[in-house]
Amino acid sequence: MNYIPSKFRNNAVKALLNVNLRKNLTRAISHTLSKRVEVVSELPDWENLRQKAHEIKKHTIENLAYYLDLFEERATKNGVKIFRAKDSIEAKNYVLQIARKINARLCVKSKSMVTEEIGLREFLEENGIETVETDLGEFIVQLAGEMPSHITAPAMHKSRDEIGKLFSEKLGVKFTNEPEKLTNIAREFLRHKFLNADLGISGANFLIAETGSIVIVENEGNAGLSTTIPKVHIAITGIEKVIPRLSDLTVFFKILGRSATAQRFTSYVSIINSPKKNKPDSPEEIYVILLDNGRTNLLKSERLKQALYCIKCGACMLTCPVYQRVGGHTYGSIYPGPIGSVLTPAQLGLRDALLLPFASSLCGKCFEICPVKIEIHHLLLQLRAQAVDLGFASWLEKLIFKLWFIVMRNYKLYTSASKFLRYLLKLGIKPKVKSWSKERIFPELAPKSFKEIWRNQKT
Amino acid sequence: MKSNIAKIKSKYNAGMELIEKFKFEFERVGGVFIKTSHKKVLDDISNIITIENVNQIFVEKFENEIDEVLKNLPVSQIITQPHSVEQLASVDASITGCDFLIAETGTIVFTHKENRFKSSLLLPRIHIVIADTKKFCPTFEEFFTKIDKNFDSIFMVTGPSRTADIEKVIVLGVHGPQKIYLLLIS
Ligand code: SF4
Repeated sequence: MNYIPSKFRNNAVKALLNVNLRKNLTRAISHTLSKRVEVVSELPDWENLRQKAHEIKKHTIENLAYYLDLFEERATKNGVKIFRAKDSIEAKNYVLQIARKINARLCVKSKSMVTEEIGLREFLEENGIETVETDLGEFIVQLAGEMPSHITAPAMHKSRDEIGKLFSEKLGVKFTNEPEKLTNIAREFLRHKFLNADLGISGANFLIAETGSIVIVENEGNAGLSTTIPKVHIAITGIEKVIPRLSDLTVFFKILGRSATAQRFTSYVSIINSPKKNKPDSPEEIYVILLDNGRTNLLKSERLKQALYCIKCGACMLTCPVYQRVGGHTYGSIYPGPIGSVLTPAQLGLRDALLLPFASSLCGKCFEICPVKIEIHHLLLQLRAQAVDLGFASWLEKLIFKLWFIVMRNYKLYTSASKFLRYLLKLGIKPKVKSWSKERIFPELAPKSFKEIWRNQKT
Repeated sequence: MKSNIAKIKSKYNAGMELIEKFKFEFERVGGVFIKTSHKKVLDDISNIITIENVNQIFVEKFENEIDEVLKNLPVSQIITQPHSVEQLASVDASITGCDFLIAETGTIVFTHKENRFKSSLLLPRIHIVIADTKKFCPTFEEFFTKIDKNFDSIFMVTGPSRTADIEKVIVLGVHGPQKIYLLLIS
């Protein structure tokens, strides 16, 4: 399948007809959402927490340049090297430069959406550096040669049988479909990689300006190992990940795990301030790459800049009626679902992702679930308006809406127009809306309009 | 006089509540909580060693009498000064201290410093943590006001290593320990 945003329609049709995919998706999504309700509802002040998180993010994004400078200053003092990358090419080249300098042959990667965004793993492999995903879900997706289908549950589109088959084919082990055994196979395989890696690459969930810290949240322990064993650690992250104070974490600790994996708290949190010093097992060098790659485009719009508050929990995807049916791959972007339909146009330019803002029912469920209260549905609406300005709408659609606009504002016109339409339908002339009626039966109109019934009853 | 007793009592209760809250949360995420004493700690660890079939063990340096006690563990090899990460990966269990116990989430906080191998918290299948009651802290709010912000690095552990990446089935011990014990000396 061709996974690019402009193929959304074709991919959606194929995904909808894929019974297995829908079964896998439904299982994973309903499980997480029902557990989430449990761990969210036990907190008496959830709304308060969302509001606080929103405000911290808002404040930081409004003062982004200041906090990035502060982070850079403090982190540099700690002995961490900072590099600001304008786009993916700059970021990749910088990583390669470090890898070459230390003569790296094997790189272990922990989960990071930003590295997916810039295609880092493929780039390093093309340059002869073996690069292994160590998060179990990412490892599965890498073995399958696929893209993650969700930002926190990358392999949720796969069943245990599919994963068992994949492992026996690619790793040469005996087939099993037991999650425990499959996990163990991955542990053994990756343990060897950890111990021999010369380079560890991670993302970051938060950067703390006041202390210059890198914060990484995870469950498996792979991020802990990737950032401890190799001699050099590179953390790559978007510029929006910075927050002012260490104590701001208290809010995010409560909301992130609950939103991402329906957990009260994740198993591991690494807060990394400095390389070596007197720690016996720690990288000798730590680099942080602050990536822009279209993020400052969002800053230009009062409304769209909200998208930078995103903490990449993935909850809006799970709750989205469109995502629930078509899955992550259909969007053709690393960031799928509601927030992905805002972030992807910012990265690729709206022209290359025109369809995405329309892949939404605008029901607002994404906003309701979002732990940092991003008004995603409003952002999508704004992007739709921009898309129309770019000529996305056909002349016919524009004409229809112009007429609708005129008719709806004039009572007499409205009454006669609706009579006229009824008359047409009676004659058996049905409007041609093929993409809508291809899979559905056009509904019969009621013989009388509501207004007529109302009037008759009154008399 | 009476109010003094009440005061002491309520302070004692607060302490108990903290421990109980921690225990509840820690057990809820799959940790094993054991209350012990200086006298009993060797027996308790020996028990774990038998149950978990531990042969080789890594023991972190403790700056107190625990150091002496742990020399008598019934295992075939005790490693205190690992020469490589590979060696840490080859042991069955590790015994370490910790710096804070956060009651609201059942989290054990380790500062990464001299004599502390972060990989010893992750590589072995079994992790045994020894702590005393001075380590308790009710919430992260309090924790972040308490700590010296000039730390090198911090590692927070809440239960064993886990995943739900295959059909949402929870599996423990992905890259880190499958089991974590907390021995509270009081
Ligand atoms: S937009 Fe909100 S709900 Fe969606 S991933 Fe970002 S933080 Fe989570």
